[in-house]
Amino acid sequence: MTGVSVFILLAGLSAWVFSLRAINLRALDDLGLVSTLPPSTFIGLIALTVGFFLTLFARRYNPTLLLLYVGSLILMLYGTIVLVADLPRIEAGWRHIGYIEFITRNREIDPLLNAYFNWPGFFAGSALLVEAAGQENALWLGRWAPLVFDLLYLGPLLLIYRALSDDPRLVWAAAWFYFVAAWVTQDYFSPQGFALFIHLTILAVVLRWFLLPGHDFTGLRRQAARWRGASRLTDVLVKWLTVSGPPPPPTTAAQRAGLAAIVVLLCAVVVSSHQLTPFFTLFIVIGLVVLGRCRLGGLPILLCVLLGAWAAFMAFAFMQGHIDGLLENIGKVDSIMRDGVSDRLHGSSEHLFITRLRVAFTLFVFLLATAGILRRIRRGRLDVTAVVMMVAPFAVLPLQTYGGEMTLRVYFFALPAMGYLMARFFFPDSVRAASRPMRAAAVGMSLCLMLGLLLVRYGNERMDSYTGEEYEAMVYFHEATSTRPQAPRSTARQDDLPLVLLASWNVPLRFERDERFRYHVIGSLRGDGFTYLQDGDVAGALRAARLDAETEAYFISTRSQKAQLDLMAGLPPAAVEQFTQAMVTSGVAVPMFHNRDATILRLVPGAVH
Amino acid sequence: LRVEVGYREVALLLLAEVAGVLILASPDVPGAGLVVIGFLVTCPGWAIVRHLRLYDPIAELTLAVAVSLALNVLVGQFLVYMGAWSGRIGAAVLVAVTVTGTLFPVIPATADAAPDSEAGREAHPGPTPDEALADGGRARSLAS
Repeated sequence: MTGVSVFILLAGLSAWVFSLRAINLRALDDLGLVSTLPPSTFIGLIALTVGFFLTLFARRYNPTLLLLYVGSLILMLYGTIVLVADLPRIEAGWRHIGYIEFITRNREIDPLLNAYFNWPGFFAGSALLVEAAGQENALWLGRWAPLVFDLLYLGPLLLIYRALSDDPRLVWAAAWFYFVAAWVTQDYFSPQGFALFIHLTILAVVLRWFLLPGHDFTGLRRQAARWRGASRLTDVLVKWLTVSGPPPPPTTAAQRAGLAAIVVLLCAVVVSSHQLTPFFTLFIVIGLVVLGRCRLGGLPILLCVLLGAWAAFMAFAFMQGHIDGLLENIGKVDSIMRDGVSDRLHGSSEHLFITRLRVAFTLFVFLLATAGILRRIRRGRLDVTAVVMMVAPFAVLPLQTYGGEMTLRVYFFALPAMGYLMARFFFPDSVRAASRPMRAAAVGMSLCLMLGLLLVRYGNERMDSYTGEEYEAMVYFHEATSTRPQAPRSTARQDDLPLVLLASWNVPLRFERDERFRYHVIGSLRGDGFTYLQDGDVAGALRAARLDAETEAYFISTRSQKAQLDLMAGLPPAAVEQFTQAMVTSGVAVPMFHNRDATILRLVPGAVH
Repeated sequence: LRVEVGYREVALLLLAEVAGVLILASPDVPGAGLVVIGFLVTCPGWAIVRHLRLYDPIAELTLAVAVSLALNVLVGQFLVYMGAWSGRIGAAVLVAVTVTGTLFPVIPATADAAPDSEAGREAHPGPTPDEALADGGRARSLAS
């Protein structure tokens, strides 16, 4: 069987490598990356899936081969776009590269300038890597980040799954289901992508070495004994709370002290690197401690102290200006759900299909994981630890809309547990004990989720990827504007900065000298912003930008901006081109740079009234 | 304080020396950046985590990378908040951490012998390296 498994793995990888040359990112339509994938990609993925499950079900357990299969899965699902696109994806990733450039150029951070600098851990660490490696910028980090992050996640995930299950094969099945369902693109070059690795590692250490095998709940039993019927229910609950999962490996006091010190170190890093992730860590750890599953009873208190201290002292600049806004949204679950789900349902018909598919995919994964819990309960087992890890992230949901992303984040942080519970749906006892129909169902479901993932994760690829021509235009813009005399940053007033008018926010511009400009988005996706572009209303757009006659200003339109407006607002690319042309013909602006993917105009001082 | 020097320690010290030269002298050598990055994201943590004697490759690698990245973040933040930012100084600090962690047991461990030896079995009740690679110590009993 090993020979067959190796052959299938190599065949799958070969088909995938062969397919890479046929992928043309310029041929993408509104269905995203799937629209340009050749059949050999799917052949490679099918071969990989079949080979993985054959290896998983084989009589001889082969962890090395299973590791190679899961590694190959990560390479195929998350590495394809990294290898095909020469540049980082996602506009936010380019901004993050810009914040690192700010640190290396100015040798400081400015918490008043940017909210991100109130949690600068990820940026300071990345800047250290960039400068120590003698690199000019972090573009290369940005490009490879998704693949590297996903490979990093595998380590703590395997440790977590080992802590949850006695069955070594189930560990690999759970990891497989995690990676075929991780559609939320938060693994790009971002603090949250990095913080997820730290979060998972904290949980891995806690679950692997500090999991309490059982708690006798004597007090609860004594209280329940007073009420008729409650005693039996309590016995069932206590049984569930004490039987799930294998005991942690034996450790010495010195080892436990060292591991606890690592947890403290990682908590400090996650608190200083991302504003949201530590709350997910906190709620999961609270759940584990309350249910008697975690030996580190003081960990929630430590996290609370770190979070409070950071907010009060290090993020004071942000908190001072935003505390009202942060408190305002607490408990408004309807607006949080509206921002996160229903407000995203707009755009072209294909984009609407992708957006609805995302909602359906997310709900389906939750349902499958819940079905996994129920199948285990029918066998008298409740995976308390996994259930806590799946449910606890919902506690963060009522706190913030987080720019309409909170529902995505909840899925993102619940997924490690859901990977395990999905595997448990197919293999409630053990992988080897599963019936043939359930084995076949696991293979079929894996293939369906994989196809779904390609659609929902890469559905916005037309706007998320940037071309060399777009990058070339942005480099030209920065070079052309870098010669102008500039006031020192500390004394510059915001109104004195040059204004960059953007057709939409989706442009790979802010990877350099971000603080030297202010920005105004003409094609806003909310309100009536993009009607200026639709109607070719140059004067209206300039009025809305509050541009005075003497302000130095530029206008940028690119392929990816047009793709975004087309995809998310149904605005045809020709409308942006006509608007750009109208700016020139009306004498408001003169061409500065043009190639097939980007146009940069300089606004004529005095021509704007 | 006893200083142990085995082949792992020699490897770590050599890597630290190479990375230190590349960081401070920054010679125009192809691949130098990759070597420095590889060093910074694994070795400082490895130098510390190895003292835990977990005998589980996946756990050791995961913790080594996590601790290395954590140290990168903390050193970078410290320098930037102190107004003394320099990526090279930060990297030099991490080289020093690696050398110190390699030579001195930052985390005192009680078991000195390898766990697959008889003495190590008594001193360290954890899984053998083979078992750890298989599934953290439980594969053998389940497979049989």
